Amino acid sequence: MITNISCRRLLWMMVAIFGSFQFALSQNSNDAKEVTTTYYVKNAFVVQKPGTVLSNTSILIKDGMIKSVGPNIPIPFDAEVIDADSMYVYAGFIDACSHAGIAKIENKERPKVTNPGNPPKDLAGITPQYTVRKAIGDKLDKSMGELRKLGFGFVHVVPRGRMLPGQGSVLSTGDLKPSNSIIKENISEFAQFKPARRMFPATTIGVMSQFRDLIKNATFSNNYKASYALNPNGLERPTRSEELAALYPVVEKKMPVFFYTPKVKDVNRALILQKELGYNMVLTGVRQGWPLMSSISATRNPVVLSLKLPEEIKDEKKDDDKEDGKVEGDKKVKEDEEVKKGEKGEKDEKKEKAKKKKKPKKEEDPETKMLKERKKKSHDEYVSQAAVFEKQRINFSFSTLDAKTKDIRNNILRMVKGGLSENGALAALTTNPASLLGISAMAGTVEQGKIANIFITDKPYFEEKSKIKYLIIDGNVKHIKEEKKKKKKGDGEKVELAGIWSYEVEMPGQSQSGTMIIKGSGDNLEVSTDTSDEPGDFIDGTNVSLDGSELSFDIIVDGMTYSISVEFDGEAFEGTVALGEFGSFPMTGSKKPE
Amino acid sequence: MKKYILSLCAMMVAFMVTAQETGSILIKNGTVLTITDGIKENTDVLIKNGKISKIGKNLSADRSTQTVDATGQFVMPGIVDAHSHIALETVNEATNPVTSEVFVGDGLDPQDVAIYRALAGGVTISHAMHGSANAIGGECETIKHRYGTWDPDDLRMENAPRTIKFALGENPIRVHGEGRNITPSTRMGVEQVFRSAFSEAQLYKKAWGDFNSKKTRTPPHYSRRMETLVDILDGEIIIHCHSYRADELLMLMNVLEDYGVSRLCFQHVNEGFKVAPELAKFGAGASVFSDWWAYKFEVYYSTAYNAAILVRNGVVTSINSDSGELIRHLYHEAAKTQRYGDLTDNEALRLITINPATQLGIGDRVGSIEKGKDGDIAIFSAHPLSVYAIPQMTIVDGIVKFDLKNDPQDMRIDIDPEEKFDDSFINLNAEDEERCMQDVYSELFLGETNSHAGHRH
Repeated sequence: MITNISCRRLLWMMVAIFGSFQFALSQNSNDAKEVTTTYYVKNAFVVQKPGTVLSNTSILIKDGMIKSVGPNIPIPFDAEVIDADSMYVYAGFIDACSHAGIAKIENKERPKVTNPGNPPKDLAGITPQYTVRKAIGDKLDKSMGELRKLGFGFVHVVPRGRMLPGQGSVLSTGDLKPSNSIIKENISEFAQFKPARRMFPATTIGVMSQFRDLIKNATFSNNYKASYALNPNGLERPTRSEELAALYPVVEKKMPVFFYTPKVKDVNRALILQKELGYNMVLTGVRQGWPLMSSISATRNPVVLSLKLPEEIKDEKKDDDKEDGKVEGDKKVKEDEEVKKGEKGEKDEKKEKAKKKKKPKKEEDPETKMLKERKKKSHDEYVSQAAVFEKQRINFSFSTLDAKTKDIRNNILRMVKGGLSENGALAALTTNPASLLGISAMAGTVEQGKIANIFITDKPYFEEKSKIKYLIIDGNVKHIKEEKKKKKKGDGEKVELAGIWSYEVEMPGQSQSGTMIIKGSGDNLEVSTDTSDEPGDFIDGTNVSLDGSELSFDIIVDGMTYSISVEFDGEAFEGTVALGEFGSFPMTGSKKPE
Repeated sequence: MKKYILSLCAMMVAFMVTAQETGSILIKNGTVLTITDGIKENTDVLIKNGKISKIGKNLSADRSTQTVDATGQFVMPGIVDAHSHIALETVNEATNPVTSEVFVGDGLDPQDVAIYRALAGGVTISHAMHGSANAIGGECETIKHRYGTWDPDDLRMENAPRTIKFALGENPIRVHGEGRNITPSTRMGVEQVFRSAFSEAQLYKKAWGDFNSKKTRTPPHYSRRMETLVDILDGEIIIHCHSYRADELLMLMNVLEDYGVSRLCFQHVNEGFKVAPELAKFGAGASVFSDWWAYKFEVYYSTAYNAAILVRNGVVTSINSDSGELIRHLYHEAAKTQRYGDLTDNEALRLITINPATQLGIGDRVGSIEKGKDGDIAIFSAHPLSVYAIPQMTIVDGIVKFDLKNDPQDMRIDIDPEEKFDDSFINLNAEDEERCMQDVYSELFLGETNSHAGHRH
């Protein structure tokens, strides 16, 4: 074993010395020291801070810090040189609030509570004394690594839980041991309107009441502790409650409450509590804050907007065109089929009739149209929230809370399309959260003396197709592996799916199976399926879309919409069927031989 | 103590929130049902800056004031509903037999389209109540139907007296006694919950009194539950008690007498007709359904004459909805007391205007068309007690909030950007009409499901 490891190290060293550092960087071990800690990013466009782009600039990184930034820095002999010609360097993004690194709490069996009206504090979700250090333990959840890949260098991590889950800390996203990655500890108290389960506080109004109670009692207890410290003579000895003690810094306004307030009602409630109780607060994870713009602006609370956006609604016009094209196509197919009709059996005629019957569904009734217009308007408001905040000059940062990792970059771009300036977006991802979290001396810009958490892209970040080429976190280069290409024939080419497929859906207690017919290719796919109950009765899929090898469409049976999303792999596919509130069920299928 | 905190909060709120939006409007030539001053034919009502400023003939207003022609129409004060759960996200904190610490005003939902539907039935004010799962439930909120806002503060009726929900009988027994095997398991137990809560509050009040007067030096544990109970003992909060049986009505009045509490209004009170003189003597109000009972065992003994009997015995009586549907035709509900009990037009109309306003402690500000009162008006095509009456226009603080002639198809405020257009789910998600026991079963007995308990008062 021992020799093995040394051999591997030796190999790495050799490889590194010969200039191909890629292997060295793919190592995951936390303990192994990098061969060199000096890097030289050569000749890049350095986006030093929002609005400042330095061209032909190099960066020297040593000991995990940015040593210098400038046009003519000498290259030290021991430096790895990253040739970043025509590439762009950004300060590592800062996630102003997230649970990254903390594993999801598994659904344990619920402990029995003898008195649900006055349950133990921890079961009721009141653990303001809990810390990120404890929550992470000795293993960082992989979610941290996922954020890193997106260019995040720092994350303000808060514990998971219910109304008062605990205190937040700022972590570097480097692959270090958790204890080393914490760069600023216990800087915030996280709070949310999340009731306990079947015990007090079981409702939002219970949470609000409990919050007031806790803050009031923390104030009384803190004051009493102070007067006891001044002169204990004749005073009852103070009792200590860990929960209340953890809130002392909050009532002393030394620690802000990061209040998770995604929707307008949450924002309202958080503002009401703050008005009454008077602590420092950061509105956090805000998705729908614009209706209360003036109240938010008047309180001068810092705001952390959510990077989650509603599901994208495609441009109506394009859809219409598609729809028209489809209908015309249908007609053509029908005409062709009329000709062939004679050759066909009765069964096919039936199919045709069924098809015709379904046709009128494609014409949208005015009510649905109106509802869709309102939905689109609402969607646009969510997307342009950041732009509106920017116009109102409200300082904000971004949080990845609730956002799916794979959507984050696209959502940032959508917000920019929605009117947010690129500099505004960049500030919300770097300088604003740095000052909010009190880490401006270490993070937020590409400047001398800061922690070397930066990333390098091939094109400007906000260009649609830009990709991160290098990540340097804690002064270590994390090379981005080219994503394994899925089994699709390149981006531009269309996957051939046309044919007859059989499918199976596993639902509790029963499984459904049937046939799925796919016609056409690329953007002009048509999908129809039948069901176990009515074999041969084919129903046309709507909202058909193909993304690479992922096909999604809706089938409406008896007024219920089945949203199907499957990924093709050669002659087989697998995916899910989502049935509204009933959840989603696994679906598999394979191509029937011709 | 809490009073001080609250008044401080009120001051802060006053600084933060801009003055409530009000309007001016002149309603011309209607038949004005004043409620407190008879019927005035061909009469104008002028509302200035949200208050009724003149009632008379041939009134004029400056050019900027909107004028409404009510010729041939009936103008009445905005309808007041003393028992409702619309505009609320949460109704029951059912985890304890006493939850006086919670306040449904914290869970207001100004985007609830039920507010607009209520306006379409002429209702301008409703009493957003906590549910009936607990013997002592949470504080309630009197709201004005100023629909069209994102801010719950806009709904709150400024300086309306505080109210709290109590509950007798089967609901608290079922939730706590049967559900968890704790007191109350019987009607006797419910009484005991009140008595021990009030007694504890007396001790709490004394402990804080001693601390504040420096007799003791260690602050007692602060408890919002106790703070609210102390305020009830101090007469600052009106009790609105879910109730059915006559014996229990008498029980609660006895308990309150023992603790010196007098501000009381019974809700539902289906056996109120049996003890009407006693209610009148105590000064307790009664807010009833017009003709609904037998939906559970303790409500089998009732009568559609309940309201009329209570009125004739001098009890301040109102008819309530307790429902987002019924609230749209309270004027029909009031009319039923003429079929069952021969109440006069004005007596019947009082049941949905000045009487519920009195029960909520706002009778001096709304509930009739009088100079100086709030400009809350409902205009009907015919006499509102006629089955042919159709609400034409509803005005709150001088601002038109519903106009039949301008009634857009989609009045929702908050649109889900990921909304699915799926008819099949409409029934599954249909809002239950009755919400007295909302949150109870889903939270406590059925686990994660969102289904409500259905009709359970």
